[in-house]
Amino acid sequence: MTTTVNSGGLTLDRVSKRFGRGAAAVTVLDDVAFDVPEGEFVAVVGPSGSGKTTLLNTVAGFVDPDAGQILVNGKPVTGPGPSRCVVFQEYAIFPWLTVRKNIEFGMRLRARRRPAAQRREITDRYLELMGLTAFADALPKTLSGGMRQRVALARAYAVDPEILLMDEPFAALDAQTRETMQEALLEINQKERRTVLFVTHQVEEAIFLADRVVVMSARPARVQEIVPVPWRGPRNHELKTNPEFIELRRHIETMLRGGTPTPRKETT
Amino acid sequence: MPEVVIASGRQRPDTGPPPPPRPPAGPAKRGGPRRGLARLRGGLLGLAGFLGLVLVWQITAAAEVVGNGLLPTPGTVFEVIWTGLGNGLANDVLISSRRVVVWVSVGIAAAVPVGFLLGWFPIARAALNPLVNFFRALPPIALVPLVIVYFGIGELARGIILMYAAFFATVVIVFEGIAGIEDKYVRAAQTLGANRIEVLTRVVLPFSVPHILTAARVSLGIGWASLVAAELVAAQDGLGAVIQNAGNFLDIPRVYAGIILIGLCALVMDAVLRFISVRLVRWQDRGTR
Repeated sequence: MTTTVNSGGLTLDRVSKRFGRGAAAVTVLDDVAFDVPEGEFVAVVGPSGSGKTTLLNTVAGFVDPDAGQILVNGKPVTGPGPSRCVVFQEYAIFPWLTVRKNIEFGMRLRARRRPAAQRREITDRYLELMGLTAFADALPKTLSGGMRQRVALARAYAVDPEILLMDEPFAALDAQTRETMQEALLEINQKERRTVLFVTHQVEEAIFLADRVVVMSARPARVQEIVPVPWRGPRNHELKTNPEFIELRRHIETMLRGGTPTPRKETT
Repeated sequence: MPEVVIASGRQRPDTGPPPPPRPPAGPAKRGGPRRGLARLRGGLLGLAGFLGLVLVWQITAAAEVVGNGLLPTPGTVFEVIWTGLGNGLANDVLISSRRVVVWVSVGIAAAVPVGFLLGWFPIARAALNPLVNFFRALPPIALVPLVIVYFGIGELARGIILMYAAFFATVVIVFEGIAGIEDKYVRAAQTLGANRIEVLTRVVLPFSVPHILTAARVSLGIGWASLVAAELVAAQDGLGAVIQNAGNFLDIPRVYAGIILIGLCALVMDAVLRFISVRLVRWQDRGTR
């Protein structure tokens, strides 16, 4: 897949990354190329340790690729910035700030500063969307893991990034909270359509949330296949028991185990 | 007696970076009669420790098992304190307290920016860390002759010894605290749009407040511990001078009185600082400090 000049969204243009030097060098990303068109939700799945997080860190700008480039709305990525806001797996909300101050954080910085009235309005909206209104003045230490990730999501949406990057944001949560959070994410993304790159090792989660699933191989990570997800519009957890869903899931899981020879890439 | 000073001059900070608030802890319960009761119980137990010590002291002194009859009873010592406080000793307490507070504050104020520098710039840390540890390990009392030579025997000379002790203790605690800041907070701030300066002022600074408060507590402790060394510099007043002079006249009860008053002052100041820091860093996910 080669780059087409993209009007919007994210383009990974043959990105490679090696760690170490000489004989000890390990190739983590090998010629990874795919697009996330504007407004689309793309999930990346891969075996554990396959370099998914490295991929995301490269897009975020924390890690420089050795070869290839990453374009956001046609502009190459040179470092971390608010155009690609990250929701991390660990609870990375600031413990010294209340829920409201956490959500406001990005809107108080120079890069995305907003006047106080607008800041308040936006914060109120995301507090509401995330069901956090009653906890606006609470400190993070009093919140459960799921609530903390709600704050992290609200904080990321509030800076209005071109791309939202999510690095296994629900992996540390228990199964039930995880399902609730998946629904909450679908819901907020229904109301506020954003371009999302979502990394996970759970195939079910990837299909449930995404419009397309990028299946990576074990290290070095290559794109094995890009699988379109046929469902559009609101989803609920019933979908996970749908035979078509199960079939799709089985297909991807077989691929992740390296069961079938890599099929040809397909794109939509 | 100087040995005591040296030993505590080297004391290590007992707190690392605050642990990340890991799994959900449920809503924090605060206030309420239960908490008050627990606090009362803690206070009473703390008092019981002191009473136990006084009891053992009383028995040992009365039985004359140690000290060749030179161990005064608690009663004698408390009598010296009581009459002494109305008779000039209160003034010594005040002078010493002021010395410690003023000069330790100067030391902390000078140390915080240096701690930031060391914590935030790896090159500065690599270059200066061994140096800081070298100076931190020096007992303040060893500096007395040099201080007298260069700064005379005035208030400044005594202040410099206290400042020295506070400065290096604070530098180490602050820089270790800042170096221990979790990467995830810095990264989160960067991806929300923070530039280098904003990361420093909006993440590193608030993160370091508990460490600065811990540093203040440790430094005050070290300050009191270094007081005798500081007041060795030809001081006429202050608790260190009281102990020196009493020692010269073998007035053992007065030596004990001076020591106990230093301990009490340090205890009170520590309690005040703890009271302040609990309120300032309410966000910390930590039971009791």
